[in-house]
Amino acid sequence: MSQPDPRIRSRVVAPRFGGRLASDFAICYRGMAQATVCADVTRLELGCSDQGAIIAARHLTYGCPPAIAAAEWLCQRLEGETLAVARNLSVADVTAGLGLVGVQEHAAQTVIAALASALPPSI
Amino acid sequence: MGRIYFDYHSTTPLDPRVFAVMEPYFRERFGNSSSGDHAYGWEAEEAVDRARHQVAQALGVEGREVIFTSGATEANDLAIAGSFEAPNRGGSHLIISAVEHKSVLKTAAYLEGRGATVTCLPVDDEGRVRPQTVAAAITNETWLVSIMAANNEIGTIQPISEIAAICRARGVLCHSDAVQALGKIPFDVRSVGVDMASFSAHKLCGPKGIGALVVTDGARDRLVRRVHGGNQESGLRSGTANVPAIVGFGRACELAVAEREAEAQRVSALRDRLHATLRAALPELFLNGPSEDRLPGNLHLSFRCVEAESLALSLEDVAVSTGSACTSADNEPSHVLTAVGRTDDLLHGGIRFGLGRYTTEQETDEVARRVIAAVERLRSLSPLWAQVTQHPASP
Repeated sequence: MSQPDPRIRSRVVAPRFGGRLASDFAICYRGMAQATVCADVTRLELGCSDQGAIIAARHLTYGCPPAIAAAEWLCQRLEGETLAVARNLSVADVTAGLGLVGVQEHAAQTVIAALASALPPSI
Repeated sequence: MGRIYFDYHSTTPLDPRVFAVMEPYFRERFGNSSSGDHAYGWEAEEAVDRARHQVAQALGVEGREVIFTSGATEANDLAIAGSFEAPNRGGSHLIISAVEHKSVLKTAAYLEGRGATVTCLPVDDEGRVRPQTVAAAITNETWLVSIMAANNEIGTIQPISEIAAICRARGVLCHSDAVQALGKIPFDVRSVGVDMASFSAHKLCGPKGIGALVVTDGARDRLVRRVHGGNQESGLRSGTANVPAIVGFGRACELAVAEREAEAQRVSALRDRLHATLRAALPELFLNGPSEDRLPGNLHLSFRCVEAESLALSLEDVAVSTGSACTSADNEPSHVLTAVGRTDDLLHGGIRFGLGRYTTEQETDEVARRVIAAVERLRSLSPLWAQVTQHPASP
């Protein structure tokens, strides 16, 4: 393991979005994805208002530092956004947001896959 | 408490007693040991001879049997590729094990591309090569068996004397990468019975960039040089001697052997203390490698539902080692854990704690505290953990 980017390190050492959502949201979406190249798994929960705003995002992640950091980055990015904005987030956004390089990009792919599986098809 | 070093299998801090004897050879005694025309060269040559004698004594061989190299990787290459290239080697069959260091595995792969056939022996679930599998694998074409003395990841001590005896009876050269053994467990080359053995100074609180291949008299004519040039090191390794490092290596060997027994006791007690503390606090924790007959400072654990790199990163300021994982360039888990049959999260959750000469009880307790906190935090994040605690599985 080479020296991790501070953006990854800080999110792994002190995660802020790990865990499960409280149950007091009008609508709750859940999704899960596993990395195709390793055993990383992310489970994502989005707590939303009636109007389609994401009030809270939480994740449970097993995996390498980029996997945890990617889930943390995504949750932070999602809170306060609409479901439509969430739908447009891409692997490239996560990669750029965390400075992921090379094989680390699998972490971005996993969390975007978890997001896609969480969002309702109509969005 | 600041940074804590628990990675002694990777490298070790330089012992100040070693540095003290090296220092003059960086400064006023800077001569080339091959310069036979003046006092600078003579005193350098004398220092190299003295160090060679110290190393030889520590290993139970004669000075002429010690070939200084840049480290164990070069020593392994010289032993394996150097014996392959010898005109009198006989067959082209090489035997190694699945848990060898990369410098052995890669050299074997290199030789495969040059006509050698390689048998890579499996190990048992504690990482041990069974001597009978060596005996069964030897053919009339086998020119060399290369099995490490002790494993750098999971600390397994191999039955190398038994393996060497089998090789001797069958007339096959036997080499051992004994880098992790020197100064940790008794390793007298003559008593063990191998023909060649590789060593490195920086694993025993000596300097980096210096190692040795012991080539016993009986094996000398079955080896050719890999580095061409001058006639240094009995014609087996050309190049100007790294005099300060050789001097340091000699002193490091002397100290390591003199203090081995007491250090092994002290360090293994700290290792056991760490293991007991973690075991008492954390469920679903698995020891990799043997519970007995392992290197004194080695503790290798897998934590269910915890990925090793994330744990290592979470242990801020504690230096431990993971067996490589999905963010490394080759995207491969540890070949050693794979060889002992670890799968899934236990394969990806292996952490090596390496304790050594300067490890203290206070540091050991602090590492335990930080590991417990980090494992609990990472498990609270893991979507797999709740399932596992409801239905614990065997490794």
